[in-house]
Amino acid sequence: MPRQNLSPEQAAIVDNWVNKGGPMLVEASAGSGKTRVLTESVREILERTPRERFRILCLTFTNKAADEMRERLADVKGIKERTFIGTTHAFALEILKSRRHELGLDDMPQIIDKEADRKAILTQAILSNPLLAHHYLHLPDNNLYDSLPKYQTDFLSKCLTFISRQKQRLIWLDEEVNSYPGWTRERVRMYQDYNALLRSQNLIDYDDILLMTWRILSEREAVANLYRRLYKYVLVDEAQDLSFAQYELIRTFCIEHIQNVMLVGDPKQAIHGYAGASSQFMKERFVEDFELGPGQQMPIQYNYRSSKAITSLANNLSGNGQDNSENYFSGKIEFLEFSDERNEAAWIIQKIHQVIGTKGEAYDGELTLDKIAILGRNRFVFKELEKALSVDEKLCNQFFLKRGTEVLEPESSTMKVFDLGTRILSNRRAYVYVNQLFDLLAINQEQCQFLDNEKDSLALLSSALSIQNNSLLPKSLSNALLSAWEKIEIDINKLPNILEVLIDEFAAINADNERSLALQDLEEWREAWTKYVRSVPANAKSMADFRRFLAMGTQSKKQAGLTLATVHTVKGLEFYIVFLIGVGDGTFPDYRAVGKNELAEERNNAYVAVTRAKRDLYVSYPKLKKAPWGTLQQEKSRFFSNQPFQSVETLASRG
Amino acid sequence: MGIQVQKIRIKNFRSLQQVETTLGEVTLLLGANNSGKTSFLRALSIALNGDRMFIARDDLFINGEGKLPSSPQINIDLKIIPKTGQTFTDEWAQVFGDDIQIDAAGSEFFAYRTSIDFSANQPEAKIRRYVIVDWESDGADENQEVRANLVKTPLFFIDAQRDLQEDLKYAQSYFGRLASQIEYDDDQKKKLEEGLGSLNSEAVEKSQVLAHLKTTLEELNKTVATKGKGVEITPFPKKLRDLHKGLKVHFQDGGSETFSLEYHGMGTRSWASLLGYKAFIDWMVEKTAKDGDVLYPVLALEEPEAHLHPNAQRQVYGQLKQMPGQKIISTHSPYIAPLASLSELRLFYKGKDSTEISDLTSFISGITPKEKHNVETSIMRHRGELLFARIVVLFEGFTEEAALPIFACYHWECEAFEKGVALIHCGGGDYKLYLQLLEALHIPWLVFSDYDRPEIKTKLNSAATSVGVSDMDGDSRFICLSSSIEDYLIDEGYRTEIQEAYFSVKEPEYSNIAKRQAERARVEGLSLQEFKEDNRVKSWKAKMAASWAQSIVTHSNENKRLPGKIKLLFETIDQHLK
Repeated sequence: MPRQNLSPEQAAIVDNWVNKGGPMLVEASAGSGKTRVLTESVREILERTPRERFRILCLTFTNKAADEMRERLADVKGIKERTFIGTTHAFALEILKSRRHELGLDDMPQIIDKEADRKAILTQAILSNPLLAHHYLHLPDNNLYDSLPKYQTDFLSKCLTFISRQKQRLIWLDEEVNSYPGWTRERVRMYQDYNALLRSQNLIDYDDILLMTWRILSEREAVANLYRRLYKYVLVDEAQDLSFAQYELIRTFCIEHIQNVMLVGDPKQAIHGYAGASSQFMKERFVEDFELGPGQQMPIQYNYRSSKAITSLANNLSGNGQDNSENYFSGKIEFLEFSDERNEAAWIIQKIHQVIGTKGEAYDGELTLDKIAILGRNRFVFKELEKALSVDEKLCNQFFLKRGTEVLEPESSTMKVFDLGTRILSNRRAYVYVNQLFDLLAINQEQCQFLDNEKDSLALLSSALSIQNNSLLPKSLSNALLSAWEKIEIDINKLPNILEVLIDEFAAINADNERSLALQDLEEWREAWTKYVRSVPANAKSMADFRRFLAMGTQSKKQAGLTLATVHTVKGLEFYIVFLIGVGDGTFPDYRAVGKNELAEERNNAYVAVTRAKRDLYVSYPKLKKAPWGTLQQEKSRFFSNQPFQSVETLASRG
Repeated sequence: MGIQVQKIRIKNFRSLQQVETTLGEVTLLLGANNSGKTSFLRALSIALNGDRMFIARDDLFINGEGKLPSSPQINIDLKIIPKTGQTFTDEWAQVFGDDIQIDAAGSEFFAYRTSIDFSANQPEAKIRRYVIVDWESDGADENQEVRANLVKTPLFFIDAQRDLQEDLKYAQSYFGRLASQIEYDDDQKKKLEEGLGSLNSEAVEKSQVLAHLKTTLEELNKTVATKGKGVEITPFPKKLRDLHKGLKVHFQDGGSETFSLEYHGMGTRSWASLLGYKAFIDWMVEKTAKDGDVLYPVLALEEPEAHLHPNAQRQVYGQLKQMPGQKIISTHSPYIAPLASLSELRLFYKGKDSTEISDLTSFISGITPKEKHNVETSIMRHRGELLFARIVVLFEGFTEEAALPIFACYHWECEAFEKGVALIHCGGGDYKLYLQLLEALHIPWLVFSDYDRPEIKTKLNSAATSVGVSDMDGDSRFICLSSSIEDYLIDEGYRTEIQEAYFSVKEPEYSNIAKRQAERARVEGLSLQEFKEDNRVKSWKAKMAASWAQSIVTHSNENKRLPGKIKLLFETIDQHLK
C-alpha cells in the first residue's frame, strides 16, 4: 500500500516524533486512525534513512494486527530487514530462541499450548509432593463442593491462575529458595515443582516467554545492550492493554538506552484488566519512567471511522467529546428488545436478508456479508443465533464464530496421533505428550515402562503404534503415519508432499465422520505450514520450530462471510454494520463485574463494541434469557438505559 | 574497519580433515605444493561468499584408506570479532544483528558454520549457514539459521594465474568491474558518444583499407535482410559502456619508450593485476564510506611473487600490507615470507593422511624478545629458504657449509635445494633456537655436528633437551663426528685429499718455488697426529673444504666417494624424504 494521506492531527504527531524523537504517548480514540499513525511513522523513518541499518520494533497486540501492519508497509524498502513487527510475546520468543543459553537452556524448549497439558503437569507436581497432595486428595470441610472431582477441577484452575499471576509479576524462584514473602510454604513448593517439571520436559508456558526474556535482559547487560544497539525506535500499539510483565519488559529494554519510544493507546478501550493488563502502565508509569515532558503526550480525537450517529453514542458511553463534525455519513442506530433469544435471532437474520446486496456509497459499494458483524459480550449469547443461522438456507454456510488466538487442535483421533507424534519428534523429553499418546492408544502401565526406555523418538512411536491395545488405527494407517514421521525427520521441507500422501491414505478410513474430520485437520495443517514457511528463513525450518510457531497461534484461517464475535476478539477491526446482541444487564455488564474498576472495564467493552461500527448499529437484547439453570428475566443494559428500545416480535410466541 | 575474521575451522574439505587456525590482519600461508593452502583459501571463499561453484562431492575429505567421512558433511566455521574492544560498533552490530553472541567474558562475536551436506545422496549438496553459539564447544545450533547480512564481508580471490592483460578483457575481473563503473553524466555521455561516432566514421572514411572493408561488408546487407543499420565498422568503442573493453594500460619503464602492457613480461602484468584489485578495493571502500555504509574486504591471494624479481616481490608485499581489510596470502617466496612477523605465519604440512596447520604462537611465547628479534632478522632474513624446506640439516662449521653441498650434489646428482633439503649453517650457539623454530614449523631436521669442543657439546645437549631429546646417541637425527670434520676425514683415510686441497689453496701464495717445495715437504713429512694439529694447515680450513670435497667425490675408488658419516647423513635424509 502506498503512502497514506494523514489528517493534520495525525501528521502533526508523525512529524513531531520523527523529527524530534524521544518518548511519546499518543492517546488515540476509537476510529481516530492510530494504526495509520504507527505505520506512517515507520514508513517515514525508514524512508528518511535509506542507508542506515538500525531497526524499528513494533509491538502489536495480536498477530493479526502485526500481519496487517506488515501488509500496509509492504512497499517500503528494507521493511523486512529493518523492522520487527509482532506481539510482545513473539519478540520475547525471538530473543529467547537465540539467547536461551544465558539461562542454561541447551535445546530451545517447546511451548505448552493447551490448558489441559498445563493441568496434567500441575497434577503431577501436586501428587508427587505429600504436602500438596493432601490438599488435592481431600475434600475441604467447608461444604462448598458437593464432589471431590468438582473440587479438584476448581483447585487446579485456581493453582494455575496463581502460578500464571506470579509469572506475570515476573517472580522467579531459584531452586534453593525456600520462601517468598507473603506465600505459604505449599505455594512456594508448588510454584517450584511445577516449573521444575516443565524444565525437565524441556517445556515452557506462555508466561515463561516474557519472564525468561525479561530475566535475560535484566540480568545480562551485555545481551540487552546488543539488542539496544539494533533497535533505535520502539512503537507499541494498544498500549492501554499492556500487562505488568509486558510493560516491564519494554521498560527494561528501552530505559536509558532507547529514547525513541512511542506508545499508542486508548484508555477507553482497556478491556483486558481481567488478565492483569492496565492502562495505568501507559498513562502513569510510562510518563514517569520516561519523564515525558509537555508536548510528548498528544491526543488524536477525531473519529474518521464511524458515522455521526455512532460517534455520538460512543461519546455518550465514554464521556469523551470526540469530534466527527466532518463525517460525511450520518448513519443510524436502532435499539431493539425481544421477548427471547429466538426472536432476537430471527429478527437479525431477517434484517441481514433485507440489507444484503444493498449498494451505496455508505457501504463502499455493495454490502456483502463480510462487511457485517454480530457482536456479543460472551460466546453464550450466540447459541440461538447459531442454531437459526445453521438452518437458514442462504446463510447456513456463510457465517463463522471468530475465536480468539487459535491453536491448532486436531479433532480426529488419527490426526491426534499424528499431532502428538510431531510433538514427541520435536521434544522427546516432554512425556506429557508421550503419556497422552499412550492413553490414546490404551497402552498399559507395564508396556509404558518398557517404551519409556526407548530414547529415540521414532523408535518409540513405532513401538507404541505396534502395540496399540484398542486398535485405534488400522495397520495401513499406522504405517502411513510412521512413514510420514520418518520423512519429517529426514527433511521437514517435504512436509507438503508428506501431507499429500496422508490425504490419499486417509481416504481409506472407513468411518465417515472420522475420515472427514481427519481430512479437515490435515487441511488446517497445510494452511498453517503455508503461513509458517513465509515467516521463517528458507533453511531454518524444523518440526520443533514449526511447533513453536503453532503454539504462538500465529495461524489464523482467513474466514469469509458473516462474523460472529465476542468483543474481546474484534479489537482494531471495523465493520459497516454491527449487530450488538444480548445487551441485557447481567450479560453486559457481566453480572460478576461489581467493583468500580470492573464496571469501568465493562463500559470500555461497550465502547469498543459500539465503535467497531462504521455506519449502522443495531443494539438488542432478549427479555428472557436461557441459562443452564433455567430461564432468566433480564432488563436492558445500564449502559444503554436512557436509549429508546423498541419492542419487536417476529415469531408467534410459543408457550 | 571495525571487525576482524579471527578464527577459521574447517572439517572434511579436500585434504583438510580437521584444522583450525587464527587469522590476523595479514596471514601468510606457507607449505609445500599440495599441502592444502589453496583448499584453505577456497574454504574461506565458500564461507564468506557462499560460492557454490567450488563445491562438489569430490571435495569431501578422503582418508588414507580411501574412505569418506562417516557423515558426509563439510563444515567451515568462521568467527568474526570486533577489531578493538569487546563490542561491535553500532554499524557492524546492525549488520550482524541478533546473530551476534556474547561470551562469558562479555565479549561480542559473530560465528557461523557453513555446512555442506552430501548425505541426501543427490549431486547437489545441501548448503546451510547457522549460528555458532559457543566456538570452543565446536557445536552449532542447527535451528538457528544465519540471518546476518554477509555481503558486507566479501572475499576477493586472486589466484596464481592472474594477468592484467586477461583482466582487461573480462568484465568480471576487478579491473573490469572498476572500469565498467566509469561514470559520466547524461550530457557528457551524449557529447562523448557523438564524438566517438564522428571519430569512428572519420577514421573509416580516411582509411582506404577500412573504407574498402566497409564497402565489401555492405554486400552482407543485400543478402541478409536487416532492419537496422547493417554492417558498421567501429575502430573505436561506440558506446561509453564498452569503453573499458578497449581500455589499454601503457607503462613506461625508466627511460624506455612507453609500451602497451601486452608487450610487458608476465611479471609486470601479474603485478599490475594486483594493482587493479587494489584500485578496485580502495575505490569500493571509499565509496561505501561516503555512503555511510560499511565494508570489510578479505583478500585471498595466491603467490604474489609470481614472475617477479626478488626486489619486486618485497615491494609487492609492502603494497599488500597497505591494502584495506584482511589479507590471507599463500606464498613460496623466501623473499616475502621473512618480511612477515612470526605471528603472521601459518605452516601447512601433511600429517598422517590429512593437512595440519601450525602457527608459531607457543614458540614465540617460549623465547626471549632478544631471541625473537634474532629469529626475525638473522634467521628469517638470511635463512628464509628453511621455511620452504622439506627437511633441514643444521651444522655449525664453515667447512661443512662449503663441503656438504658438493657431497649432496654427488649423492643426488642435483642440488640439495632441488630435493627440498636446506643445508643450514647455524652458529654453534643457535642450535637451540633453530631446533625449536623447526619443531614449531613442523619441518623435519637433522643435526650434523663436529661435537668436539666442550662448549659445542654443552650447547647441543641443551638444544636437544629443549626439543625433548634426552638421548642423542639413540636418536638418528643427531649425527655427531666427535672431532672436527677434517680430523674425521683424516682418520677415515682421506689425508691425501686434504693435503692436496691445502696445497691447492696455499701454493699460489708462494712466489718462490723453493719455499713452496719446502712447505710441501714439511707437510708431507708430518705424522698423522702432527698433520691434524698443524696450525698452518688449520688456518686454511674453510678455504680448502670445497677443494677436498671435490677430490673426494671424484675418488678413483667409487666406494670412497662418500665418507661414512656423510653417507649416513644423506641416507637418513633419504629416509625422511620418502
